[in-house]
Amino acid sequence: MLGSVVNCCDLTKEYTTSRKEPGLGGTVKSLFSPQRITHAAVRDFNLTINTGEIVGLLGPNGAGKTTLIKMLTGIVPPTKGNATVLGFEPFKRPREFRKRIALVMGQKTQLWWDIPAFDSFQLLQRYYEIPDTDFKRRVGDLGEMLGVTNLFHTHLRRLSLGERMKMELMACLLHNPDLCFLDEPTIGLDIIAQKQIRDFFKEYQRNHRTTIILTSHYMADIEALCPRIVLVLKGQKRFDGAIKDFEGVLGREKFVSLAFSTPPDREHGLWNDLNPQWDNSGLSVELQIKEEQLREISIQILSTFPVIDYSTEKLPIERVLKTLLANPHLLPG
Amino acid sequence: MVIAEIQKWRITISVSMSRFMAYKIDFFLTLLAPSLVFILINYNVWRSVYSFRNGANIDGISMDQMLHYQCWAFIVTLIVRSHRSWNLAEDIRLGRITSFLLYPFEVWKFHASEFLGFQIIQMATVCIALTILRLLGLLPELSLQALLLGILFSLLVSGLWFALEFLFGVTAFWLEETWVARVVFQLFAVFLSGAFIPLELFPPPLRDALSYTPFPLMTSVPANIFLNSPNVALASSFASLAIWIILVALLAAFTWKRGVKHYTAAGI
Amino acid sequence: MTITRAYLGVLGQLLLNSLSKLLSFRLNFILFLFAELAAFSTFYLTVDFLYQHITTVGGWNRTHFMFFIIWWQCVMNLHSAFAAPNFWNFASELQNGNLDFRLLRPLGSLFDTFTAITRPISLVIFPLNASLLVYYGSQIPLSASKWLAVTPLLLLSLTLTILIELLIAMSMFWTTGGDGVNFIRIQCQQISKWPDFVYPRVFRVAFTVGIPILATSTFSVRALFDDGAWWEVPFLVCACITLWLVIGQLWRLGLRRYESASS
Repeated sequence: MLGSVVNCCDLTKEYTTSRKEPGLGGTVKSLFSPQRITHAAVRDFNLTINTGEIVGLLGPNGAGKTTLIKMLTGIVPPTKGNATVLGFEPFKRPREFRKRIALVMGQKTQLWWDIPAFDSFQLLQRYYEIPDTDFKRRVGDLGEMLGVTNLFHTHLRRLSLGERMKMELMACLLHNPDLCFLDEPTIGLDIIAQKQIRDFFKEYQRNHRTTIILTSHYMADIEALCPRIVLVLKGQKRFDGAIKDFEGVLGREKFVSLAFSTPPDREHGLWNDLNPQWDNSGLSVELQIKEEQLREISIQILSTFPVIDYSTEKLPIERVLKTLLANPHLLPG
Repeated sequence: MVIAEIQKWRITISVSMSRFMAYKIDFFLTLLAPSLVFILINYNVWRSVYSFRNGANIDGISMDQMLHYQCWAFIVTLIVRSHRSWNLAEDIRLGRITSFLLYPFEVWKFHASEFLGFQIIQMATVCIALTILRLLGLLPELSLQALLLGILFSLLVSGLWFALEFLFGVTAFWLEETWVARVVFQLFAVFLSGAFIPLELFPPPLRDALSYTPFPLMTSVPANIFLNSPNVALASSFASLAIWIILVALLAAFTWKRGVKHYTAAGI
Repeated sequence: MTITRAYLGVLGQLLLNSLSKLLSFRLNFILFLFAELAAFSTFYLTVDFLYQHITTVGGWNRTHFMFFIIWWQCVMNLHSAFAAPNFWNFASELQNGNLDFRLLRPLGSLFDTFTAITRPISLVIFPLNASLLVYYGSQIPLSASKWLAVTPLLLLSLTLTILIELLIAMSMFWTTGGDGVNFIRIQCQQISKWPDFVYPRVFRVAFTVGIPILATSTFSVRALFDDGAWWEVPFLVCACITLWLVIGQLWRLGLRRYESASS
């Protein structure tokens, strides 16, 4: 039976910041009478995640995704509400809890800059009390999966960003965590490295059934890894469900691309309500057609105009997200 | 052209002043703590040394003269030694100067503006310190001319320190940790500039040898200017200070040029 | 038992990693030696100069004073090898949010934060200081029982110094920037560099009973010189225990305030 790994109820985190007016005058003023403003980075957040799930946290910068992760890992205490992660209360940070989680932050490194990665791994082995045989096996396996075995003894500062990230992943997974938080693990990497890391996690999750919570600004990461996504906007949960349901939030529409041998009549009534996007030559067009009308409208177009190419795709998640960020009112609830 | 350049300096100075003051408590602590402890130790050690001698002079220096000297040495330290340009070495080591290399405003100008911004704030602290010392009766003789000359000289010395710090920072192109060399230099500078033991008490051969170095200019000379001491040759002191500033600045510029060629932009 | 083994294992590995780092910067080795020698010689010359003009200060003659200075140097060597770099690191980790990793690891986060970096290079001059300590100790001369007390008292001085600095460092949770606090810490070292009797009475009481900065080196050394000052040792032990309890509380309070900056 699947148990819940993460369970949070009305989780809220407020930060107090001081506001400073621009210029030197503002600085002096804030030195003596600082203006304090409280804002909620995460507000009344409810979330349940079951064992073995991979959940993608989506949202623009500053939406509160990272703060949520920090509360769930016990790094920062919530201002209000409560959370249970792996049966523990995160901010109490019991040892057993810390041994079972891992956090990868694409923008921070836990490895030592001036020594080879392998030396850092050995240190982590001591922290997590990993028996020698397990350690050797895991370092070997992970190194092979990520293709970095030959770099173990190179100083970290001599590695490329992608290689460093792979070492970082290894460092986080050495102790075989049950729950893994990935905060933008592919940020700044080239597309090949991004894909390698995605493929790695796919395989890793298949073998270990680790529960993974992922945030990323690259939709390719989310699409490849997360069957379920949670959309966070201004600290609140605005969508929680299967990725295919998210794709349908704006209605079941398909993108249809058409090319013609001669330019068709752009004023024709058929194009109405299909949001046509013509190219400059007038020889190709992109249309948005409701799924249930697709067959009927396609037949009409094919029989009316000199079509030489026809293709359809569903509304990509990236476009859905872009549309929703620009028009949050379109979201249900 | 010139106006645009001045604007760049002005805005950099203003931004760096804001930055210094952004971390309020931190700012006051870095600014005041070292100088306060310096005066606390120096004043008390000398006071107790004299009291164990039952107030007898040391090589012709009375207790009062010694304590006044220590107070002025404190003011000099406050003006010349508070600014820390550690970040240059750090920026070079971590590859952060890359963005600065791209701006149409040279790296040294950024640091110089930052230094000027700091000195402006620091002068306010100096005024407060002077007032407090005066109210406590620790600075009985205070001539306006000596005060202004002393401040001017000390500000120039702070310029010399800035050039030296920049030079030490630039060595980060070659060295992984530059603070060790800087600390060594500072230790010698504090000792040999007369910041604790006035140079008048040094053995004459050592004193003569030191006159060929910039060390006496760093504390002893400005403190004596403040004290209105007749032993200070004003014109030659200003001249030799100017020469030292130019020498160190040229050396720093030269080292910078060599270093940039060496730069690998680690971490990006 | 397994916990102790885990902690010792971590400490051992940390030391190995530091050595690995040390060997990658050989030039530093020479520079460090030079820095230590510079620090030592300027202070030595200062005290030597003072004793040309006085025979005793606070009942201590030149040999006593030299023993005290070397004592302080030994404590500082150990301190900068095992403690000092962590205070700077703590300040920057608080600012850049890298403390996150310490909080995630399954050992005491206070332990992890303040043992993370060791700098064995600072011990380069320790053998010289230790020999000088033996030399001046035999000049005083110290009795056999006093010699036995030297190592435990030295460690007591070190422990108290580190605890006082930890107490000060806890304030970094409230000051956002850590450099200022680190400066205060270094200034405390400067204050403890001189025996307590050079300071005015009010100051002496405040910095012995309030925050026992002056006790760190003066008390242990005086206990060696003067049998009448034996009570200063239990005072040091009590101070250590009290500080440890307060630091534990402040650490917990501080972590509640930690905001974990995102890069």
